[in-house]
Amino acid sequence: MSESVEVRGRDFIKYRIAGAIASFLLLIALAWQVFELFDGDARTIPEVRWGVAVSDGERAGPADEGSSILAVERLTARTKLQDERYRTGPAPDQPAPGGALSRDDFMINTPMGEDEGRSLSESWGQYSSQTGALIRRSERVSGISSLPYANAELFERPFARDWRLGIADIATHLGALSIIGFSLLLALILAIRGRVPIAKGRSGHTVKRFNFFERATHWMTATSFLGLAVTGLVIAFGDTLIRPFGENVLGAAGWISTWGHAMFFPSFALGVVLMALMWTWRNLPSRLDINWLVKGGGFFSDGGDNPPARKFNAGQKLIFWSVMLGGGLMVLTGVTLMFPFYWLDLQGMSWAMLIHAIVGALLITIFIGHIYIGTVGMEGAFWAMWGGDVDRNWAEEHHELWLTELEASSASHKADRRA
Amino acid sequence: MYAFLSGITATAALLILTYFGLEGFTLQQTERYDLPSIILDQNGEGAGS
Repeated sequence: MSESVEVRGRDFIKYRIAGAIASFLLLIALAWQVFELFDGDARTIPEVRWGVAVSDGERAGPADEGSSILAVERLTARTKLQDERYRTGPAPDQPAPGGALSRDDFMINTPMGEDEGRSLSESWGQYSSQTGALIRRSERVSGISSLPYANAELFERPFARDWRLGIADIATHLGALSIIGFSLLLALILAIRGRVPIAKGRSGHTVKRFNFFERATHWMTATSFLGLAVTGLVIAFGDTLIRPFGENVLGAAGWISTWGHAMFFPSFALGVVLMALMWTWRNLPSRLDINWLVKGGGFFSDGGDNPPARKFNAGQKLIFWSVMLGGGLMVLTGVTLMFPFYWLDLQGMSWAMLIHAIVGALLITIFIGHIYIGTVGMEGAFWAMWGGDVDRNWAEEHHELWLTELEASSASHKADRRA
Repeated sequence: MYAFLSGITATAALLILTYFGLEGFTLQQTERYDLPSIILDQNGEGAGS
């Protein structure tokens, strides 16, 4: 390829300046995130201390004023609030391990009087061998709660510590690192190499790449995904990112995001199903994909000498299968989280949430790459999904075999008509 | 552009349908299990019914 072609990718000066500014900002964000990893205030250290009740000025059990969470007066008041608590909703129905004290051991099926509530609360405030036995390691540690909510009787599940580590450290930190790190990488690529140009320039002739239904389905899924991603990020990182603006702002954003996250899911799920029906057969792996991947899709070459591909190249196939597998997993775990304990127990719910968080962060990372290459990253790519037509030179450079098929088929149609 | 507008219209339509569906479901579940609504005020005291 000629010198002038070599230069074209670096001609997009405004894009490159924007890439440089974005790189700078993302570098700061990444440095902050790395600092968060090592600043020693990991959120996963459980602060479990045995609560001590204080009644009538006398302390019961070991002195530890800082953890006096079992205030008898307040417990008694709450106990009286719920004298019909045996009629409350379903609790996670799972068998207790052998030897562990279960909810049924303490279940009281009659409304409590004032004295009963008080004596029960007081007895619970006493540190004894029985209460000590409750905090031993087992599948779950359950007792009795005065809250009118049967799940509150589950004091602690040792598995939950692992879950907390996974959700608060692995999913949150690595999720943020992958999203910020990958965005930084793309911004650096834009700043250094510019856009991927149409090497031969625009031909002025276009070919039809996607029909109306394909594009409408794409945009329905894309807007749903953006809605899910933004609301999901608020749910995952709102405490860090939004709390500085005030707790009311965090509360409002959290409320909107919690509902919004559930509301964007049907259109996303429908989009995944429609895309599977439309595009699966064109996204089946082939030998061409290996060649394409080995050559990096020609991404770092300005010459337009990209490895040959049919309608979808290996990169696009990876995006497609990310949506199918990742999106499918997100829909399954997401519906499970919307209907807690309907078909999974507590352990299953924990896994569903963990998988949802990790796969969600990965999908957001992948789709930042997809959005980048479909808009600023590559000249001419966006119009495939916007108007449905792409420049013939673009098609020739990125989907040579598809263009050949298309033109051969078009020529044979014309020949048929003439005949 | 029309494909884009059709896509976001479909998203918005399903969004609204889902809102009412979820609201109805939540209401139905609340009534089915006769769940008491406990609201804690800033002092942690129960203020619900």
